[in-house]
Amino acid sequence: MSNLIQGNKISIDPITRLEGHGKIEIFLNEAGDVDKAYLQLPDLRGFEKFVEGRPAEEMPQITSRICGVCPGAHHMAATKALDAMFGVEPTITARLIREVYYNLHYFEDHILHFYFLGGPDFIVGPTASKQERNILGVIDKVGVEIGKQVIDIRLRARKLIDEIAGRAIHPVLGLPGGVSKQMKTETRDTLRAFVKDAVAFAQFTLKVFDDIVWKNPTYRELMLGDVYRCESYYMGMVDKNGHPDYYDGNIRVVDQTGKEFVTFAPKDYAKIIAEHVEPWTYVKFPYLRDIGWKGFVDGLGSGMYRVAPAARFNVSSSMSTPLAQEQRLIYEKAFGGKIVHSVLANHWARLIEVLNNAERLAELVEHEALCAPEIRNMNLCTPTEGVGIVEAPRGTLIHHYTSDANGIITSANMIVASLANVAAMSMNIQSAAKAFIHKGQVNDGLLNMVEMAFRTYDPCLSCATHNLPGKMPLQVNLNQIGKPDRSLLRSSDGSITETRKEATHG
Amino acid sequence: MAEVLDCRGLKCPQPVLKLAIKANSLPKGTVVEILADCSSFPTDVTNWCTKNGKVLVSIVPKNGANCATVQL
Repeated sequence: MSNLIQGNKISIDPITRLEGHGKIEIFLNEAGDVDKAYLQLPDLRGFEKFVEGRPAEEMPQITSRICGVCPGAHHMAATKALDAMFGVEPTITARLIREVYYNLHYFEDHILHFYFLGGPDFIVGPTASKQERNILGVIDKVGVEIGKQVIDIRLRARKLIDEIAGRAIHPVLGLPGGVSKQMKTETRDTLRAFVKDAVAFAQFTLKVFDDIVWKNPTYRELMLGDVYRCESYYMGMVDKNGHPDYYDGNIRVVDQTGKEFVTFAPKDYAKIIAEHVEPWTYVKFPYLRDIGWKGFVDGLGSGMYRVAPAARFNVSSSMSTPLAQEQRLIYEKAFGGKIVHSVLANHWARLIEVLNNAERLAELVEHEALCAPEIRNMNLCTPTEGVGIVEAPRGTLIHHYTSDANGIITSANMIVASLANVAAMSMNIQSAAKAFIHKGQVNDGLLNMVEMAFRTYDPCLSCATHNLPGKMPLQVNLNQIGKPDRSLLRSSDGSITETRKEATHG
Repeated sequence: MAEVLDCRGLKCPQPVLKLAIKANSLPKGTVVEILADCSSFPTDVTNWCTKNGKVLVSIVPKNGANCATVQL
């Protein structure tokens, strides 16, 4: 993280320990207090446009390249969109293999966040030096042996993913109506041994959270206080019993009091969700269509909704597995009820989901059909249009494709989980900046506490930037020794401005 | 005259997906020739024919690829 203070502006550029790129700019007033703060995402991905003209069946492979951290989520959303597009249901065995794969992906992804990305803010400390706020600082704090366990359990999960899905990062598993590879009995044996350790590791990690985070009065105050808080609508996928479901189900939306706003099938998403675009960002802002986009405000009158682990808890009644449900009751009691508005609660909810994933894997590994040879349903219809929705680790992920009769993609829309949280992240960043920065006094620790407002969402900003507002904004800086520095800026409307200043270099 | 699907350059299961899509728009009894150079294509097309009740008339090497003749 590089912090640059220029006049009344503080830049945190780049922000760190997230997926993708971003920067925060904080503007101070004359008293040195915070006037405004912005989260800016300077990269453009543009997958929605360049997949046009590609064969539909390539979408699970192409879209998994959107992100190296959550390729499994895009792969699975794309695969489910192909199921819908080709009008085909996967076989029981294919569904089981997909679920095994997806729960493994969740398990290692969530652990990555707690120990490598978001967790260091608590395990090492929010105001610790930035040299320590990372996995090495975490290992220093919890001990080398535990550090080895973290690395080992993730390695085993990723080796299983590699075995089941062909590749650990860019899977070649999903096909319309099935999967590409039957599960071997030896893989099942390896998985069986893994899940036993995975359950124990998830429980251990929850204890680490309890000991280091929740039992620390300062951290508890941060989690329960008003600085990191937002009252919005919440969205997440639930199964027929009202449990959070990461792979399949209907989408439920509740309001700030927990009252159901709507439950809808994936194919109907466009009736419920609309997308707002701004000329200054590559991000699209999804919102609830019936309420409307009211800008960067929360509350009942704002159509802004949020996703991610805490949102999944807010929309669901209970967990699908017993140990995770025990932990959820503790979580709900700690926050004073079923609906939790604390932004930092995501850290805790995420770890309960890790336990839920491990327990679900323990159920799946014993299913009699898991290693059966019926892995593909080839009764394909002529492709037209398909919507696939999964819960990505960081929230509800929507893929929507249309194609011609030959299965060539004619349009694609992706509403990525982090998009739903970007408006809230911006608000939470400003709230934190206003709470912690006064009279122009800043330091690295305080600015890290501003970053914590986005980190809790585990955002994937590389996944989130697909909107191209007019021309691509571009800034070119020309620094030539002995000559004035020149800066050429092309704005999103295509206009070009040039500025010059005397060189400061020799 | 047989319908022809040139799937050279496509990796399995893409050739069989193209065949499955094509089969939807053709009357029963139509003969389709599929040319594909993916190494697992012979197994893939054989399985598809077996599972979907289609007749695999032949599968022979042709121009560096495999040519499967299928009667729908």
